Amino acid sequence: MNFTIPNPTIALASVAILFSACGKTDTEQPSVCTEPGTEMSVLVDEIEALAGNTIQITDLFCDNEGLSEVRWDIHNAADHAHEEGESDEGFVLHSGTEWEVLEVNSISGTSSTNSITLDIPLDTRGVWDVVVSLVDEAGNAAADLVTQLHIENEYIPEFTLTTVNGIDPATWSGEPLWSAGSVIALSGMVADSDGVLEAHISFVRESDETIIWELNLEPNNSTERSFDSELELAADAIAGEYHLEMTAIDGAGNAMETGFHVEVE
Amino acid sequence: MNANSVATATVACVNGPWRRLLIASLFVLHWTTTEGQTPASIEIKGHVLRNESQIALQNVLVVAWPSGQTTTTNRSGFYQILCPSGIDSITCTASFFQTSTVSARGRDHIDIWLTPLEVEIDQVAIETMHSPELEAQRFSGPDLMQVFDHTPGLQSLDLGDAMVQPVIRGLLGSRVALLEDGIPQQGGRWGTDHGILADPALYGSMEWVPGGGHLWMGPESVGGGLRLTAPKPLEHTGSMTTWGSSFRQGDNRMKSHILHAIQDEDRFWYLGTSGSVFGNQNIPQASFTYLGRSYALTDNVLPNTAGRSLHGTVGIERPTHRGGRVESSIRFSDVIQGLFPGIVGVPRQGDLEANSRLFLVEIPQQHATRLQTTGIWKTPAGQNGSSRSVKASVSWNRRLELAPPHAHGWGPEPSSNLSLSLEEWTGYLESTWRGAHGTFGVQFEGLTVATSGWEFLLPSHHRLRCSVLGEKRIGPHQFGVRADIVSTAQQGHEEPLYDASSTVVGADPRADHMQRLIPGGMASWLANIEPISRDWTGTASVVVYTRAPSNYELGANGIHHGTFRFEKGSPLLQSEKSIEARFQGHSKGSSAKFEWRIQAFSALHQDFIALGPSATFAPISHAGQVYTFTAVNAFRTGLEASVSTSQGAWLASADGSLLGQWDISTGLGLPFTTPAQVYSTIGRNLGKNHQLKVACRAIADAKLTARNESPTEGALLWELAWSFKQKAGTWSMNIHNISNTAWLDHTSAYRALGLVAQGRWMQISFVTSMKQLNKNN
Repeated sequence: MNFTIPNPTIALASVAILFSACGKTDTEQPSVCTEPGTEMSVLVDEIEALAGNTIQITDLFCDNEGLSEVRWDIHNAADHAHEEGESDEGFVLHSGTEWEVLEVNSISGTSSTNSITLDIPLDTRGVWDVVVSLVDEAGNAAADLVTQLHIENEYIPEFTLTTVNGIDPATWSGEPLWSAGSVIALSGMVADSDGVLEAHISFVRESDETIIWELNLEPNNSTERSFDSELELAADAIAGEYHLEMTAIDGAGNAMETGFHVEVE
Repeated sequence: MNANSVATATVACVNGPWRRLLIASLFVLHWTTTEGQTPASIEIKGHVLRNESQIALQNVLVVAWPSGQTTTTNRSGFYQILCPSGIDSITCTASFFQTSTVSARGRDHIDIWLTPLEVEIDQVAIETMHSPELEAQRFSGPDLMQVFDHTPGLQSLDLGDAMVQPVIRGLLGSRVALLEDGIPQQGGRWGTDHGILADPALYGSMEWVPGGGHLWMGPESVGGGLRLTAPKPLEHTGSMTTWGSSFRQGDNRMKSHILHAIQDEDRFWYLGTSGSVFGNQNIPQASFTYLGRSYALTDNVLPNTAGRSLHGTVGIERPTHRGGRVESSIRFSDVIQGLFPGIVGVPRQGDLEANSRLFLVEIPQQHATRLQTTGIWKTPAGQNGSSRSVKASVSWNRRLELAPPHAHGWGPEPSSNLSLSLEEWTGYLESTWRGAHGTFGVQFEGLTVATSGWEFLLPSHHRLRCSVLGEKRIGPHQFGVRADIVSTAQQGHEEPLYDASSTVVGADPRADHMQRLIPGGMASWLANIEPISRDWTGTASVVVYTRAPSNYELGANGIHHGTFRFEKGSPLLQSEKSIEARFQGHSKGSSAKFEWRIQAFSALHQDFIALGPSATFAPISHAGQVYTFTAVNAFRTGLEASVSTSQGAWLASADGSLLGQWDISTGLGLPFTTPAQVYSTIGRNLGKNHQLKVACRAIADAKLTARNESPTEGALLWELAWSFKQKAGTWSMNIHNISNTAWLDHTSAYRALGLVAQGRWMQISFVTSMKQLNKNN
């Protein structure tokens, strides 16, 4: 049997040309085409909000052929690294981190305005990510757009951590690492205009939720209570993930909880 | 009245010269009659074939006894031999095959099967092919990932050293058949993150077969298939122990294996085990971006990608009383592979810190275990050349995916780490009847899978396949046909539906009960090509075949952590229908300056089940778009080519592959289409048994992409290999990615997160064999 093997490169190129010429499909991604300068938009660097208020973020979405869905995903940004070039927020003690919103809305046409209305809970404070995902009718997905929602809170007590072992926590990069058997010096303050009724600091082992150190700040309803305490880690403390928790209740009965993750070696 | 009586009566009545003439005539008559009573010329014809297959053996020396007449078989394995003095027996001799002598017993048609040998010369085993597929090719190497990536047409898709999926011509999972001694390995291999459980060190040989529709490989061979074969009996009685160890700087992988084999007069058995442990994968990358956030990767390692693997095998082979053979084996595997924390959602920076304990594997991780028992019974070739074999196997597989408990959307947080469990029981039975001109058989394959865990992906299901197969050779042509019927069913599954306050407000149906009967099959034609020049040989084939959807494609409805997507199947999917044309050719003869091999294929697929993005988002957080299994029409074509040469002490080779896969309706590529690449080596023998090689793997840009799939830049990777064979064993050193290039592997599951492939590593290994063989036996 005689065979003439065609030039494989030419053959494959011909097939590629054939398939690029026919069976055309929409491959263009949808986009956010909100007018620049719009304040409550995912295109801004940061959205400021106050706990207890309601805000509405509105954006205009566009596509060459047809939009399908937009998804708004709002979740706490604690323990997430910063975007390159992003301004430093400093050390943020988040509260109410369990608050999150996920909403998927159908949109259509080549341009469509869509909004999300957020009722900011009274117990939230810190930075949340607002992630917008967009897909068109053909299934093309735009790259997710992210902006920060910075929530201030005038209702719940506020903890401030000035230094940890003499170092400003704002200078930390990543999760702090403490050694078993060490003594950790904590300096800071808890404050509330309604007076602070109760305030506690505790060190919790995450694997089994065991409280291995606790301090009652005894604020006695003062509007500000500073503290300079020492957290003694036992020499036989189990290595792993821990959480330094700070809780308080103000004179009006508003409770708050905040803290940060620590790794013990 | 016999001749003598006639002669006597005639002499009594004739006188004189007529009497002398009559006497002379009587002598002639007597001599002729005497010769008629002694055996006249005998001609015997038939075929010489490779044992357990219909593969004709060419150039086999056929000797007829007692005359000693010889002939050789032609390309169809046919011989024809004539002996004037009769034939008592026939002896067939061929290189790398056991010599066989068969009694003629008055037959004029004798077909003979020869058993292949594994011949050891020094420490190099000259092995023959075990696959019944003529297109099969041998591949070898201690490391599956490296072997796949260096073989044109193959690729590895891995989530780490212990979890490797073979990719053949751009297809993987339930489109790649994996057979161990002809028995399919299952265990949830439909998942791109569900690697195969095999260690090359514990097999006798490994072969791969490109393309789809292979008769004996089952419907799953669409991209192709792999055949792993147990160790074969030794040529001589005695024992042989092979062991080896290696250390790989980079991820600190330590690996060891030992395989012991004993050959008695009639019994062969083997026992082997291997194990490896490795740390986090070293990568030339210090940070990665996810949702616009930048994360640091400390110490240039991919955190929590450590793992370990353990494999074991034991087997025995002995003859039966009637000259057949019985084989049985047990295989065991247990592997743990850590998974990068980012696969279960937005990670915390703290989760990405490198663990101080080198080999610690935390969650998320995958833990796969299997236990398989196999029995094979074969009869000897009968008088009419037929033989029979039966294969049976039972296996238990379990895959556990463990992850930090988290709830998607509203609902209580799970109380365990078990996100997904797949527990599977599989049975296989194959019965085959072989003749000189045809083979037919039946296959039964069944599996039952129980799924559980808080991350629903697909429901519990079972599946049964029955196939009837037949093949026939007519001259240089080989025809095969198989009819399949697949019966499958899945359970319904629903979960509570919660509101924002974690109150149950209804039910969330995740799967409906389904039962289906799916017919299918294949038909193939293959022609052997033997050009007149005889300096190359090849095959051409055309195949039509179907593949029933897997239960994953039918019933998936949930987040698949291993692929970072929400995946949704459809119980209405129909079988894929395909037609494929293939060509394979390779040089022959050792006198050629260059050795070459080329293979090409083109395939059209109707109702090809492709996983693609839909226009909807998953209703749960960090799950992104819903990816759905939909039927598309696809065209695939590709080419692999190899060339090698040696000039004095220098050796050089180049292996290249080219692949295109398209969704015909959109013109877009299919997912994970392997980019074109060339693997070139140049080496030099520095002395006896001492070799140094430099290699370069050039990978082209991957531009043929599916919807929402990012193109990947190509890369140039340099390697160095040194080996030194001593009497005590072979030392070798390999350096991979010498320049520590940061490159994205287009077929890697981690590419979607922008994580580069493993960086530079150096491996030192030592392998040796200790033999005590009685070569007089």
